[in-house]
Amino acid sequence: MLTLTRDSSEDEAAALRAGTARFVDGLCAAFPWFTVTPKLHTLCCHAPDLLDLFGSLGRYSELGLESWHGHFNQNAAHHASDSFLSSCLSYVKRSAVTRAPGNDAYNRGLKRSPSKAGPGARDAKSQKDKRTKTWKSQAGAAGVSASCLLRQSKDRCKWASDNLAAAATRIESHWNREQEGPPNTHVPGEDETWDGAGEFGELLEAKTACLLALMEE
Amino acid sequence: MLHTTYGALDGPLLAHVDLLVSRHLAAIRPEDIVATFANGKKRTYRRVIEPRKEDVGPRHARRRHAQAKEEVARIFRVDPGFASAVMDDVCRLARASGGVALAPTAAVSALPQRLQAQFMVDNNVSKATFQRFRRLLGPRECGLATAQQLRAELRSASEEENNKATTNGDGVYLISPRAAVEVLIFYLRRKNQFIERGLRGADVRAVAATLPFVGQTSASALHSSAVQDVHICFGLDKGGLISSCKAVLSCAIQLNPTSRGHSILYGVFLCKKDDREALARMADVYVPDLDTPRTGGVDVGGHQRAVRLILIGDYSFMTTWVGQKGASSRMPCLWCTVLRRRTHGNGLLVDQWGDMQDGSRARGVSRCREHSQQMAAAFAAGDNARRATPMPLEEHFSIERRSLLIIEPSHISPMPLHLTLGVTGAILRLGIEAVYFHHGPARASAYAMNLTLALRFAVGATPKPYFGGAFEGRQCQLIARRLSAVIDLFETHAPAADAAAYRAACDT
Repeated sequence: MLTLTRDSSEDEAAALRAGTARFVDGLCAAFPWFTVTPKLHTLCCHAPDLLDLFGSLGRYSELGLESWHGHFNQNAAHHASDSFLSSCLSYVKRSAVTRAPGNDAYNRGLKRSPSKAGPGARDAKSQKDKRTKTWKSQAGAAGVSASCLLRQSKDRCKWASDNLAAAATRIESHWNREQEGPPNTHVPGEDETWDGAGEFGELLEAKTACLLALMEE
Repeated sequence: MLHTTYGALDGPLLAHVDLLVSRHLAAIRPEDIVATFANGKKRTYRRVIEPRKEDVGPRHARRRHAQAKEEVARIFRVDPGFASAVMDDVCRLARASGGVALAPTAAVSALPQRLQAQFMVDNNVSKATFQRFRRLLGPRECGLATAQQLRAELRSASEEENNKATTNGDGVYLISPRAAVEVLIFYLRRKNQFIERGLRGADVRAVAATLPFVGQTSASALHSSAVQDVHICFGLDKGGLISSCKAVLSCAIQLNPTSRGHSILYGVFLCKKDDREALARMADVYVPDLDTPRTGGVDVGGHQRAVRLILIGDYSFMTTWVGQKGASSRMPCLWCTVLRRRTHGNGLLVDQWGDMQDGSRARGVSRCREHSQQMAAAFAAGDNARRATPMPLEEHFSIERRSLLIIEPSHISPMPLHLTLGVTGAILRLGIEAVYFHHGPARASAYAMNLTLALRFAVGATPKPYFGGAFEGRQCQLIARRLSAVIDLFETHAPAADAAAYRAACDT
């Protein structure tokens, strides 16, 4: 509902109101350290009201705004000038001139429609149609270099450690606020996976999984 | 006729006689002209003067427009829609340049030069490459413009009012955003992409906008929902490889409202930080220009319409814009007065103004435009901290500085994109927190690593450690679609009760 630009129905608006309330209230109830941030407050308390007023939220999205950064990064080099400001001036002028027609004016013929091409025509719809780099590489196609794989692996490790640090800060501050220590009393249930080697074993398992994945690629 | 009458004369002489007769008729302006054809028939042409008013009503204007369209289409043997589009272009150019447009004197067989120039620039095609295509297709037959023609067309386009830009030393901006919006809407209407939409009433049904807009004295005043209007979004965001703030205007009531091609790059300002001082410098430029269409409206199909300005952007930008200190202020919400959390010292305030931690039951008092105006007047000389007697929280509601733009709080967009980004990141991090809470750092570290692998191989989104580990918009949607892989992983690391709550939350 947050990205749809068409008019929402009454049922959809009611579903958003109920769903966001259930989402935030459920997390608040289940996780004692969970904090409602201004964004989550906006999601559950004000986004449904604004949807009722305007009929759509996606129409008022910041997607178009953000996409200008990428366009600027890509095209600023074509506007070489003495200073960055005059380069920007050239860029803004050119953007103004090219703005009006949009893509529709440039497409004067029919677009290729694979779904209408008939039986046997290539019509990629599912995840495994190898349209993206990710799925191509998973299907065994060459294209991702070893250095790229190494970089991805490093990025994943960094992402995990960054998020772990943030999570640790959050939980430690919660314990400090509540004047309590870590609950070491949790006993895993039968339906929970818990290997005999304990925490170190889990870490080892994760590292092994990483290495195996790298080797597979 | 002359050829049959004066058969002894050759071509040049006939042309000379033709010229003389035409000049003679233009000079004496006879009431009747009688012509005799080769078959002996006579036809009398009589001059009839039909008065034409310059200012006519909309129905009369539409009738004239339809007549002209049909006539031009018949003369040039082209589609009436195409003739209408060309005439619209000619008239618009004439209005913009202040002169009289030149009507086409031959059937238009090629693409308009303006479109060719726009296509060339939009796709970064160099003039040399374009000319190679022209030579390949045949310079005369293909109808592609020459390099000189393209250059002249681009020059004339950049001199139109809606495309003019200037600089003030800090940044670059369009001189007339109103003209730019009007032209954007003109093109949207021509492409049938402009969609009439109004606000919804209390019964969640659209209010019919039937009243004309007659202008308003205050830019921030809110016009009635029954007044015909257009929804114009104004947003500002910092980013790019070379840090700069881009201001964008877009029309929300169209088929593709978030398309970059359908929005207007209003300005680019150099800035390292989008702090208060930087935004104030930009506001000095943008706000007066935005107030012009807010008070006078914009022209849509010959009628003035009110402008409903809607603020878009990220949380930091919008809080700064309305005079708050950001998401860390005590009443951080842009729409109501809820406090961030209950503490030992603010119990009474929380009871009166609401607590954000109440989740969906957190209902503060709604903010209003009048309060923003009062705060703008109160802080015109300086911030709240600089006053001799600073206002208490119950009076300023965390608006402690002069608002840069007075706007109705209900016209602030709830940041759909940033909500998506924020919620996705929060959900993933919550899983790590839960494992940390119950099992400690080592197991949480293992879960975080496994989560990255699940995201990479089961979901198809590669985590990147930049921008706080946030994902892009499309990746967020991908994660939301394949969240079951994350939930399954969480169930193997966390207690059953937490896993059930996590699954319930993620399923909504």
